[in-house]
Amino acid sequence: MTRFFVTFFPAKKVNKKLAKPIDCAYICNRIIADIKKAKMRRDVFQAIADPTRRAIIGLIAIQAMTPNALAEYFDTSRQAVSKHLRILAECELVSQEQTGREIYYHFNPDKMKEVADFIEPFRKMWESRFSKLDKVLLTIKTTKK
Amino acid sequence: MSSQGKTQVSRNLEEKTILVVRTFNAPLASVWRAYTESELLDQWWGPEPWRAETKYMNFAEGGHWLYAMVGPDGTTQWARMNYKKIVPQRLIEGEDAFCDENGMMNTTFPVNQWINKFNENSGSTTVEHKLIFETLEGLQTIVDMGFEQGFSTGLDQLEALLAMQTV
Repeated sequence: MTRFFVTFFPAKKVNKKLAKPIDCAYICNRIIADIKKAKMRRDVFQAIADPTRRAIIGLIAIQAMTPNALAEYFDTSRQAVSKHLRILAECELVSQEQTGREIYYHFNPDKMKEVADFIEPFRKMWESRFSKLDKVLLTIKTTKK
Repeated sequence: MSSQGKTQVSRNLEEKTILVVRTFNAPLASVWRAYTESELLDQWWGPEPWRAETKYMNFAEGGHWLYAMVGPDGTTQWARMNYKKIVPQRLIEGEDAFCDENGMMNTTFPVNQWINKFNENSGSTTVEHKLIFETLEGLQTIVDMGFEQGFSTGLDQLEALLAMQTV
């Protein structure tokens, strides 16, 4: 099983194609961008690992909501909800939209699709099952014929 | 025939479903038996390194299959599959759940609905498994478990959970 997770958290790819003349600032920026990307990827899963944040996603997936409206659904403070929203926004699972004086939070399904790709262990589990079934089917055929 | 032997998994977040499609190089009659007879199910239902062990089987509408997933270290996880609708060699509809060894359902884990459709095409058989989750959260449970457990020691348990979470 551990193997699966190595597949899903691959070591950061080093970009070998540096088309531009190699200057220090450029390389530094690339490294920072790569680290940021890797971190963001990890954060998406950390974000949805929290039940409150999952509940928030569930609510705003139905309709965009303000932090105040969201806070009414939870026993936590408005501040705590805002913190959850900030984490969700940082990893782009939700986006903000200013309407008048209010900020509405929207669900970003594209980002969730990225999360869904994490379903690979699930596919492997079925594949393992089916390869056993392939063998079972062979025995059914032989015993029948 | 080209897709034979490949498991295709797609998800539909709007419908909150996961579709697992697989084609087997066997006639429909054999595949149907493998899905509906407990002696055959025991031989393949447990993904490696798990194996399924049937305690009770009543393959009929309103009936259920009570089985244990047994791990290599002897860990046992009970589960049951409730059969709701059966159209012979066409479709099976039902739900699965965790339970104790007497089949008492454990409601702390989500119950998954599923629909399996069988189709024969020139000697090979395609089975579509549609897993339906009540909530987006339910669908994410699989993902979350993969993430949370991936870094902890409960990997065996994860495999059991993943196994039970599905059809």
